[in-house]
Amino acid sequence: MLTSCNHSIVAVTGLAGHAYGSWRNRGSRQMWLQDFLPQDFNNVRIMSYGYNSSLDSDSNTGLLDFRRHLVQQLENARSSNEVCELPLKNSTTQVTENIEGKKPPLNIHWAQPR
Amino acid sequence: MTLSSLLLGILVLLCCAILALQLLIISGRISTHQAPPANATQNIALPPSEQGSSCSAVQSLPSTHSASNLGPKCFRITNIPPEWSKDDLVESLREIQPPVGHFDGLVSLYPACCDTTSQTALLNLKTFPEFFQGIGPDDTKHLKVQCRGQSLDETVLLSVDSHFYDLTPLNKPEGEIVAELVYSFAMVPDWIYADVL
Repeated sequence: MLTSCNHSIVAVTGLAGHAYGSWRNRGSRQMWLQDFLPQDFNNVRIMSYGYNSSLDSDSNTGLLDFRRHLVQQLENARSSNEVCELPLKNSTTQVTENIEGKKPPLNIHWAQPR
Repeated sequence: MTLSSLLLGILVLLCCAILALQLLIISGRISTHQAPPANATQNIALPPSEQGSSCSAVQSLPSTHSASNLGPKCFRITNIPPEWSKDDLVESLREIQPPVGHFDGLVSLYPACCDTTSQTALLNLKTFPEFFQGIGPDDTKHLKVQCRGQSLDETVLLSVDSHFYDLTPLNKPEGEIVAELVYSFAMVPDWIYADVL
């Protein structure tokens, strides 16, 4: 359990996903980012990012636009003085790699289902 | 020559199969969005006899789809004043015309991601009042409500949607945020833990 670190976790669904529904159990209707994750991460801000990439969308937005918009949203969300002084290079790199289908960052653990 | 023709035929068949599969997926998505009821997509405005009431609602964007009334659904409400509580929000929503009546869902209220002067609410409804039925997958509706405890001139414009585009807060953290970890997943995992070292 994290108690001393203050971080933000931003969940980004895959293409044609939903920022809330993709993380929710269809049976119990519980959303683990909202209902379970905060219990293990006390001082972490948890957010979900949504973007319109559905197949029947009329939008001409591309992956590069999604990436730029997400980074811009993150810059807007960095409100504290400490955060504002930090570059967004690492986050940007991770977003780019994941959206382009490369392997996730090394500091992710894929745990077994409970 | 015969072999190349055979390969070409197989390739054409594969392309047709992929195209048919995509059409099936798209038609399945469209068929899940039932035709809106006659009164669901209309602009919701106060009747003349109730113009002095504290709440009114207008639809800001054209509705391209209709929300389904089957099963629970989560709506996002943004631009909520920071001093509002859950009760204030629910009381404001009760004043929607036509009346919302009984709320059978859950309300979660969090500080907004990009704006320190507002809050964001997640409203999980089991059944949708008429106002929420008119909110399609890509729509955003605006609600003009009176500030709780303020004079009649003080109004707030709430935004209601179910698409959850952009950042949505999912908890109320304590303390200052000093870094962001951004992970995107092609598939929804069962459980993920991020090491913050």
